Amino acid sequence: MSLTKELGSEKTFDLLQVPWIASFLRSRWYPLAFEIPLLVIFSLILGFSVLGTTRGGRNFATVMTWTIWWPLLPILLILFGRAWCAICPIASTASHIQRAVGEPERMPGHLLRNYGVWFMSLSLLFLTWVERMWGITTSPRFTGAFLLLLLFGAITASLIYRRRAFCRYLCPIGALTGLYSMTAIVELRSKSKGTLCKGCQKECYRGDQRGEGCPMYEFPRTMDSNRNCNLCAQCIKVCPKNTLELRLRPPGGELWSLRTPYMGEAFLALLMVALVYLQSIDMTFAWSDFMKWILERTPITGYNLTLTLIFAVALVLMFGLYRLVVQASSAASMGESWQRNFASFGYAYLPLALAGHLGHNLSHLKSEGMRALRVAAEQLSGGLIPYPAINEPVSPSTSADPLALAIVLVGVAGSFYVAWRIGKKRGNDNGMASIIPHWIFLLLLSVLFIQMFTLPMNPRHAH
Amino acid sequence: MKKSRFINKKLPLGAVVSLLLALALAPAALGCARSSSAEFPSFVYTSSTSLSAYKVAVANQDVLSSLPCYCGCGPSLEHKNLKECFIKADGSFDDHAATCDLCGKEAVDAARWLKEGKSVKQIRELIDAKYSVFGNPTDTPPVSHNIGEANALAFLLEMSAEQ
Repeated sequence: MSLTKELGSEKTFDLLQVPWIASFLRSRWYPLAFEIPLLVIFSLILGFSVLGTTRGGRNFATVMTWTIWWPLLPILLILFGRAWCAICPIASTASHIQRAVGEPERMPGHLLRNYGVWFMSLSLLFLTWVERMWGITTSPRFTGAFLLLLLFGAITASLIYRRRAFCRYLCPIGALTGLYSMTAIVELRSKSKGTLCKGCQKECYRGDQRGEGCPMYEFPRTMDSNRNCNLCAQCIKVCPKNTLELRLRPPGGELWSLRTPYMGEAFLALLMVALVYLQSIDMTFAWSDFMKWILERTPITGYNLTLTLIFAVALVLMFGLYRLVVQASSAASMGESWQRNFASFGYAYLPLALAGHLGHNLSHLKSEGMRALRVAAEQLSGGLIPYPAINEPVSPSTSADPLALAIVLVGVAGSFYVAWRIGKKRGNDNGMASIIPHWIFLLLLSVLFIQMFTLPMNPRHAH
Repeated sequence: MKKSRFINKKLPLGAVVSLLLALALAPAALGCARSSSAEFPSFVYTSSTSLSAYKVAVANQDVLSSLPCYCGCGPSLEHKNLKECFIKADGSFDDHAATCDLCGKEAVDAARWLKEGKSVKQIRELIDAKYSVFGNPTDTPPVSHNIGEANALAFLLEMSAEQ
């Protein structure tokens, strides 16, 4: 059997041609087989976050959430797209409750559909700021409150709207997973660009007696992006003509081939670059040097006020400079609106944000992962699996992590390449000229990122 | 594409540039150097909690030297008391408490109780009751006399001056 199919000029590898993958995805065990253990772990996390020790580095909830899950999330997104959202215990709890009480008829309105991504971006920004001010990741109680808030939001949305309105339009983590999944190596698409779907009853969207339709309000026949596909396989289960395929692809291909680039997503990609930089730099020694300088040499008093001002200035600089870059780029491409340029080229910054996020968190996972697992085992077993070193502080590293730096370099190369492909798609000299301002801005950001990742980083949980 | 409501299409470039420059130069324009209450090394500025805790530690060295630390630094770092998490025996600053939330919390609690008028002996009892669940204490001798009242007064004066 040939697993590679010729579709026009595109060669694709369809994972649904692998019998065991196809039968697993079509069975009722997917995504249930992942949901059940994750629900158990999530319940334990909530329990430990409320009842366990208040020391972040010794609590099951904080080490499992922030030292293990959070660094693994970008890897999952690159490998499996947004599949995490299909098995997320928060979303699946809300879905099970929705099924139990009866699905409401109401669909998300204009406000959510048009401004959902902006809301998610701003809530992600707010969460990052709260984290820097009060330390969600180091506090089991704050971690529990954060997870409960997400759970409350998901359940409330599931009782008001049909399907998964929270995941699609409101979840701050969903903003990030949707964006990062665009770089994934898999994609669920309709075969032959939907030509085989003629005459169907749109079961993939509406569902039928065999199962529900797409919980993310997507119509797989016309889908050209991973951003809102959580790979729950509902459409695969209900499609009567088997017109869907799960293709392998080079990572990031859709960043330059999107039919409809969205300004909100471009904004989010730029925001992620800024947030990843701020989150990473303040765990280096350069941050404390900088704070010392500000607090000792300027009239600004108060650590948290200074931190807030730094956030504000960094974001104004980021978006102000990007606005200037977009102005120059759209002028170079003769006649393109700045909004169009803003939206199209915004995706070019995504590989840099993802690489920074991944590099930073893998560094934590490498240095603190084993300790986190030992702490988790000790906590879960009630001390029966002892971890004598639990009381020993984690020393700050004294050198940079070469793996993190290497990942960032790959991200830098990826961003330059995506910007080039986006410009090249315009197919004329003006299109190529429009790349240069973005390359210059990317160069500036890359220097900042590379310089930051040559510095040693403090541990997330020092104890 | 729809016109964004977040950035007006007619936003003049001059305004953007001026805003950026104003924000970037504001700290420098506002100001001349000002002296801080203590000369701390950079690592103290890791976080808000760290900075507050080191300020408290400097102002209450005698009290902190009578209190045990429960973060685990006794066996692993050979600290003898809470003060040594912040200030070494030679008087230089120790970077341990900059990333250890427990040391910071103990110091801030101690200062608060001191401010409330509690004696060092009472503070030690409160610290033992609150923090002993977290691990083994440093090998800190019991409080034999009531030190700290003078420091408490000095600390209160300093705090009220700062406010």
